[in-house]
Amino acid sequence: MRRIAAIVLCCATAFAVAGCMNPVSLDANDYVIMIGVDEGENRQYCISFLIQREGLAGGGRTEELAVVLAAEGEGIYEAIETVQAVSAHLLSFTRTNSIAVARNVAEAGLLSGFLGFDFDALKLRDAVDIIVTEESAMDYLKAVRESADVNIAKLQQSLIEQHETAGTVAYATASARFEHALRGTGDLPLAFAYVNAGIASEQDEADDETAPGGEAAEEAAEYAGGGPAGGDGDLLRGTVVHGSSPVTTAGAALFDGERMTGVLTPEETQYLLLGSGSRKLRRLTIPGVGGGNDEVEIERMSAYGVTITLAEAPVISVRIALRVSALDAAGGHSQSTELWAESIARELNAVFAKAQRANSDAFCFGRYAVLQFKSGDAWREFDWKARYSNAEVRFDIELEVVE
Amino acid sequence: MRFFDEIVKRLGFDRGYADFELLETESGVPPADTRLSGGATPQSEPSADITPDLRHNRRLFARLFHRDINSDAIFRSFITASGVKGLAVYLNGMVDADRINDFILRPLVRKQTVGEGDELLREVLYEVLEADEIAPQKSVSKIADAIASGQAAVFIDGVGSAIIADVRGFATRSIGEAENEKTIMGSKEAFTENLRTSITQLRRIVKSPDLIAELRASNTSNKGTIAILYMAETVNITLLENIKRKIASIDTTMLLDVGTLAQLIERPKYIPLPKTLITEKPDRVAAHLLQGHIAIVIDGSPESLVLPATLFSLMASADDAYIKGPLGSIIRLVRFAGAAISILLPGGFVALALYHQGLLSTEVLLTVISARKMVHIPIGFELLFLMFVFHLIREAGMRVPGSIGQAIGIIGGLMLGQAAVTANIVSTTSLIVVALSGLGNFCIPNYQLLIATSWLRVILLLAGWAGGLLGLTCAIIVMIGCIASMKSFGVPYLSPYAPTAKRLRPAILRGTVDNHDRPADYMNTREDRGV
Amino acid sequence: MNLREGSIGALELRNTLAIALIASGLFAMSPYALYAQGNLSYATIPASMLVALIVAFVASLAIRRGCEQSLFDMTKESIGAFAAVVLCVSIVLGLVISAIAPLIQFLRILQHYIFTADYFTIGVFIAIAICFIGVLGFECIGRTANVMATVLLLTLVFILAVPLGSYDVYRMLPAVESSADFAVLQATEALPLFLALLLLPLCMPKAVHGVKYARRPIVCAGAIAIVATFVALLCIALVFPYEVLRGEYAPLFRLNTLVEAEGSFVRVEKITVFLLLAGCIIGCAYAVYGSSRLVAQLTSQRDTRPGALCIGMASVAAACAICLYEGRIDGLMECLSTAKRILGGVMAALVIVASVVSTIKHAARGEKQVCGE
Repeated sequence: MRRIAAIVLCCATAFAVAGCMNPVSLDANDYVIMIGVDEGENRQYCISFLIQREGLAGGGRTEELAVVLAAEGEGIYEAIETVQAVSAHLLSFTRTNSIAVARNVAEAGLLSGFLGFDFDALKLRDAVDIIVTEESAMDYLKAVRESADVNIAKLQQSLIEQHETAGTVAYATASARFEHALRGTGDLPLAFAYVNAGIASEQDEADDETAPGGEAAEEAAEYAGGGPAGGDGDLLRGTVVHGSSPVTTAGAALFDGERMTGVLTPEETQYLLLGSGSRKLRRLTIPGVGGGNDEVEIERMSAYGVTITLAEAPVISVRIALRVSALDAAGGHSQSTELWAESIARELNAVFAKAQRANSDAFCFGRYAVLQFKSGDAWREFDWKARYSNAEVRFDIELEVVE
Repeated sequence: MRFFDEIVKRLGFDRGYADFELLETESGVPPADTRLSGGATPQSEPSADITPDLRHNRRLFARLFHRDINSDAIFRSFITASGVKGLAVYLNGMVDADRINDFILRPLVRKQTVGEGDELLREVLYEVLEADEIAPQKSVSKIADAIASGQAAVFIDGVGSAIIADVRGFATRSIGEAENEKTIMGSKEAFTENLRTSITQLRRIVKSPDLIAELRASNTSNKGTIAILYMAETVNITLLENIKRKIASIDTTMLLDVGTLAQLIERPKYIPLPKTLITEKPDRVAAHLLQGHIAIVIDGSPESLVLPATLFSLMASADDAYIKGPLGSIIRLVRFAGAAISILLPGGFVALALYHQGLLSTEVLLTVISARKMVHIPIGFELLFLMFVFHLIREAGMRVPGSIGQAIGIIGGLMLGQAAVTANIVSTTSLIVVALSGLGNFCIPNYQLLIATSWLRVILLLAGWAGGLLGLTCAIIVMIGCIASMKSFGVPYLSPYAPTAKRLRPAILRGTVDNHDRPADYMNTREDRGV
Repeated sequence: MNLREGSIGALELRNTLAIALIASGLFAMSPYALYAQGNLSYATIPASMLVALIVAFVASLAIRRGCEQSLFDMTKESIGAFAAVVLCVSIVLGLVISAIAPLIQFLRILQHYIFTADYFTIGVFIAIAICFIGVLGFECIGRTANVMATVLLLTLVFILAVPLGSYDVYRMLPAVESSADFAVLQATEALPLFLALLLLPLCMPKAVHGVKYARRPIVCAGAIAIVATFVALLCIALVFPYEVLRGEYAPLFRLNTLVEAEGSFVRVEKITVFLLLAGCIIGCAYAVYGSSRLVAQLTSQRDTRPGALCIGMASVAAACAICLYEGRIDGLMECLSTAKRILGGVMAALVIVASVVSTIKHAARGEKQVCGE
């Protein structure tokens, strides 16, 4: 027993000398679910944090359980210090799922500057999604907070799954973006999001402030008819939606390096994902000859291949084989496989042209170009981005339509 | 240098290397096999014999048994049909009076004898007495032990030996159902305190002449009888001699139960995990005997000690073998899962709550935060407090008689727990964690192992509290290392997995019963060694 | 089953050796050292392991042919006692390095990603575990490895299987920054670690029931480790390009960063860190015990425990010190790398020369002896 006592004493002394592991109880933290980045008035950034404080059993409203705190700073650490000075708890970023960046910040090229902090120091996952918001990121966070869903994380997850399958939004994680930026193999587009400002919410209905046919509905219809700011297309196609989530993610933000240079509509985003070889894409809207659209379900992407001929004006050949089934064939032509293939190729070319005009390698063809180089030095010397603006693309679509 | 020497001495580095051998190797030859009639030779007492003088013997035993104050000692004088004086000495209540009268006294006083001295002894033994088990004995101490154990000693004037007759007839508890080892299938009988009955129960199951029951008296004040049972053709002789050597070296005041015996022969003593299996079911003991294990039964103890025992044999239940293989495997998996949950859950929960909140899902995280909103004590203290209360309730429930014991469970479990949550002393999640952990603990069929693991989880809780998952991982590795290095009388504790044996039984998954079942090869039986 | 005291069986040796080799293969070199000039680690590390395995195999054949008891006996008999002592010392150093190197990576991972605590604070926990297991002896290490082997293998499979949808060949190329010259240097730097681990069973034959029975577990363990290390490093290369890897601390535990944020398995990476840490502890304990046993043999001590305790504590302390002072002392890591290469060269050369000389000697004598055991 004496030997045991001696060993225990030595261990205890070692622990006492070595110091503490600094535990922090889980109820001593504020858990940041989302981060919002806007341009600051007095500092470079205005950074907001959507914090969910409690879970509520048996229903309730998120706005009672979550709060948005914001502070200005030259970087995230300054903002954290300011926020923690007025908050009773430590901010914890272990549950952070998304970073929302305001469009003006992205267009000013300040995104990379903001994201240059050490994610590991904040225990922030590299797999956080980065989304660009149409208006203020803080408004976006507030809108999320006002959603009827008590579980913000589940709300975000369902948004991801829903839109990924439909292909109307291009989600990208910070690590994926960082990888492409570091290697110069593409300008990964980011998800585009906006607040449904004119859309009636459940609370509004409950308060009887709006009703179908009322003033708010007219405003909503007007808003919906006009589409989002920027005039990039009618995202809601003139519909009036009641009781929906106050936020929507749809479309993709195009980047030229660090700067945002354009926006793709949800339909264009579908083609972007198709052209990038995304195997998660399940729906495709094919414009018809007569003005309508055909909806098809993609059962499987049988083949996807990219061949690049390197030159001053690289030639990119993309072969895509799809197995599809028609969901809704309208648009003035029958289910002609050749016509559909032509339409798809046409749309892909249009999206590529748009991205090229924005000087954005949104399809990340650079990752196929890099395969032909023996060393990193040779690849950097080639300067793919400079030659990308002269590149030509050819999409070769093979369709197998099943009943 | 003195300081260094002191450190070396305290850490035991100055002791011989052999002292730290993992196998208990001891020198010396075990005492020869002895039967009850001979008894274990007391190691320090010289043997004094009785004399042919009856009066001398009467005075000697009257003094030994304190006849003047001990009314239990009966000294029945008689004269044989041939006119020879005799004396029967026995303890009131320990003998069957009818057998004394019918088979000892009546033949002695009615049948004629002609011889003297040894010839008379021979006549009495073979022609007069009608008892089934009789033997001559000269040693005073052995005669006294025999009388104290319930036998009768008959002295005849002029004969230098006493005749010991086994006429025991003391009241014993009847064979009942096992109270602490409940099974769904299989025998429900349990051992009783009577050694003879216990051995008989085993012989009813193992009807083999190979089953040996060696009886010996313990070297203690109560002179308890110890029976060592084994299958002569199967057992490992080295193990058997090792056990006999250990039993012979016992020198303590009293030995009333197999639990005490286990503590006296196990090494090292400070490891909380049991190295022997204590069971009250004869069918379980019989199964182990047939596998080459050794069983020890003590007179007065209603359990049997089976050794060696591995972790997996301690986790097995009596009825595991009586149901189909896949079903038994599922039950065992649930049992092991319960044990694992019991040990790991409190420490894991406190580690996640204090250091690794990111591993918990958002829903769980926020629910725990809500539950702990008004609780002021730290999570670690909460869990320790609840585990202590859990032990209190269990201990109180065990000590209180039957029906009140159930009420204790209800009061403690439901009302106290609910009241503690309402009073914000503890949170609901902590209560659930400790309750689940306790439930898993009760899945362990062996009582000693159950108690040991209930305290091992406290160590893991402290490790998780101090260092999060790092502390927990290191503590688990240390624990596995300790258990892996343990041996139960030469057999590694984690057999048959570490080291891996040819025949993987008993183990977590129960194999099928087939026609070629053999004892586990880690027992190193005679068959394994080709003897 | 042979319950001979103080010895471990073939399965235990195989599991212990495999765990130690995989821990060294995956964590012995820092990501910066591995990926600074490109990513050929999936070729260099397994190749280095293969070379070490071949050397160990050749040595075991030579020992068996000469009916020697151990590697040192063979070396002493063929090229002299001094060479045997040098070989012993170099194996001891190799074992100590193979104990320290993975610890450095794990300390960095734990301090950087998980805890907000000092290196020494974290090191105390690990030191206790390593010293405890190392002091308890070879049987304890072998049986603990037996118990943990399946868990560790499943953990590795789980880590590599979860990000299955993220693997893409384009991240592997280009494989080098400018040229592939660094590959040889990388392979030679890792050699002494693997070689010391593989040669250890040949140096303590009694613990493994004789060299004859040690050969198969050594080969098995080597093969398993080569395959596992190759697959794991290849998977890392399929998820991260080298430009990203050289800034990472623990790429093996970050493979699912390309998977979306929420999900059942996505946050389990932190638990896998601790499971593989358990494997690292077993590997370190094996190296620590082995080195203390060799030191005890060299100095004719009977008790290995003081040595195991000292070497264990010293290894953890050295790992903590290297983590703390690596960036502050210029050229420290380069010096250590050069020292490792020289050590590996000396070890390999001595073993190969001794094996060849021993084989030639016995062939020249025309002996065809059957070793009695």
